[in-house]
Amino acid sequence: MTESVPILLVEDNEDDVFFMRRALTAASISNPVFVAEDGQKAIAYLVGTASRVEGDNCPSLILLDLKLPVTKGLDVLAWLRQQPHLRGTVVLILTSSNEPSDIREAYRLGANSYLVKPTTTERLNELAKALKNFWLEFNSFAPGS
Amino acid sequence: MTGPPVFEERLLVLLPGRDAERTLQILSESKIDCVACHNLPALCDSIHQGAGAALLTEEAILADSDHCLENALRREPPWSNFPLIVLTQQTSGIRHLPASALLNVTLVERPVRFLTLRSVIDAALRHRRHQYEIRDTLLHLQQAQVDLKTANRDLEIRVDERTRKLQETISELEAFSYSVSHDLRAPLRSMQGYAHALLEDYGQQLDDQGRKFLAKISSGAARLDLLVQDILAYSRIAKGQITLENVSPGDIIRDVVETYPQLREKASVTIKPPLPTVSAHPAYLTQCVSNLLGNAVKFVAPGVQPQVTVWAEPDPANDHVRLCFEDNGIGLAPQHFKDIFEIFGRVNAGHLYEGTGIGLAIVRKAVERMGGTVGVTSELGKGSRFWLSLRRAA
Repeated sequence: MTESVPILLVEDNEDDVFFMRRALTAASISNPVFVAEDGQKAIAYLVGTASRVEGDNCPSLILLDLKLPVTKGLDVLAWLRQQPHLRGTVVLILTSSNEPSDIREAYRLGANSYLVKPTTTERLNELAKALKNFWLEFNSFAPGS
Repeated sequence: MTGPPVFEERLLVLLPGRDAERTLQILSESKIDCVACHNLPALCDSIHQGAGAALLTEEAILADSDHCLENALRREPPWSNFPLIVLTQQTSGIRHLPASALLNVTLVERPVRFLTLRSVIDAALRHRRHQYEIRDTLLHLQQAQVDLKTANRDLEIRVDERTRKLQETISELEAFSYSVSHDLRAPLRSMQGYAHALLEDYGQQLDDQGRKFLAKISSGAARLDLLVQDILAYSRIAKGQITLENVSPGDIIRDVVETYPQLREKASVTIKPPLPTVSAHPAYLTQCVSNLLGNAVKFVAPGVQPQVTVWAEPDPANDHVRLCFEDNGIGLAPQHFKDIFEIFGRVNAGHLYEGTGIGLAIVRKAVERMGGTVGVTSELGKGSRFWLSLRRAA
């Protein structure tokens, strides 16, 4: 069931997009990955997929960076949790910030997990593997409405 | 701006007809500044305008049915006690002098001898001069109070202004360290990531030297990342708001040993009980302990198994206790006992011992934020004893 769950990667740094795609591939994650380069595009994407007849492309898992152009990650998260049909979407914060204030705020706004971007490829690969293992294999997503 | 009226030394004289002329003449001849007043209201007016004393007869006062003199004297400011020299009849005694208890009256019996009058006038004028001096002192005091109030207000405005500026600086610093954590580390990830990708995808096309260069790019990036993280940890500890609570150092040390595989596997950490409960911030103390134990593991001679012994001993400050961490490491020369607690105060060559040079600065800052002190005693080649002095739990 979770095989085809689309993943939305909200990330403005194209290097990080490149590394994340590599790490997901290295962890044999074959789910479709959509990329939004800023918060506004992420919101537009989510609005767009929701209004489509085939709700298949609506991602169940979002990897969300915090420091984004136009609309910040935490604002995307706040918006997301106010949308009835997106309340169950799993949001994993993936950021380089380990500021206690960011972590506190992310959980307050309803993040499901907070991950600090690893600085080495090895750690990033481990993260992708753990992500697959927990979120894509053991975890059950909220059924779509 | 006009100052307060100056001391008027003039003597107001109210005497009947011929007495007045003669007295004024005699007094003027002996250099007393006299002013003749024609009636009591005129004399009262002159008192109000400033005068040294008044010379008048008992009859003039007794005839004052409107209490003109009494009212005039009551209107005088608090420091004033206007001297009246009253000439009386020898036999009359003075019975009806109004509010005499409040008045500064000297009675002189007629017939008056000039020398007596002269000394009474001199005494009255002297007394009056003292009153003016008291007035001036009071004025100075009042002015000083006003100045003090103004100064206080200015000071409050300045404190507010500085507090505002300080807050701005703090926010700027926070924004700065936030930006450092994000923006400085992103290129690091790229350096490391692309070096790794290059090695993975094109490694076969490179020789050993090429692969070694890539490894050096990766390790350089990793070192810079450690540095950035330590600087961030330092600034967080320096600015964070903390409340102290009762903490068991033994629990913290055991937790740290459990959490770090390097410590658990490589080193032997012995705790000599009892370690008394201290007043500390758990996260800060954890940071201190892990930095100290981390150093103990890092700074040993090649091939030596790191051994750390921890115990508590009394501190010269009675309400504090010293937690001592003794290792079997490479030790320190006395001239470095202070440097190593400064930021970037590392004393060992980087190629022998990896480190950012911030670890002990973090320890010192954290301990200071918890109201304690740090120190070290050591000898080159014979291990070091680091100590943290913290307040005993209440």
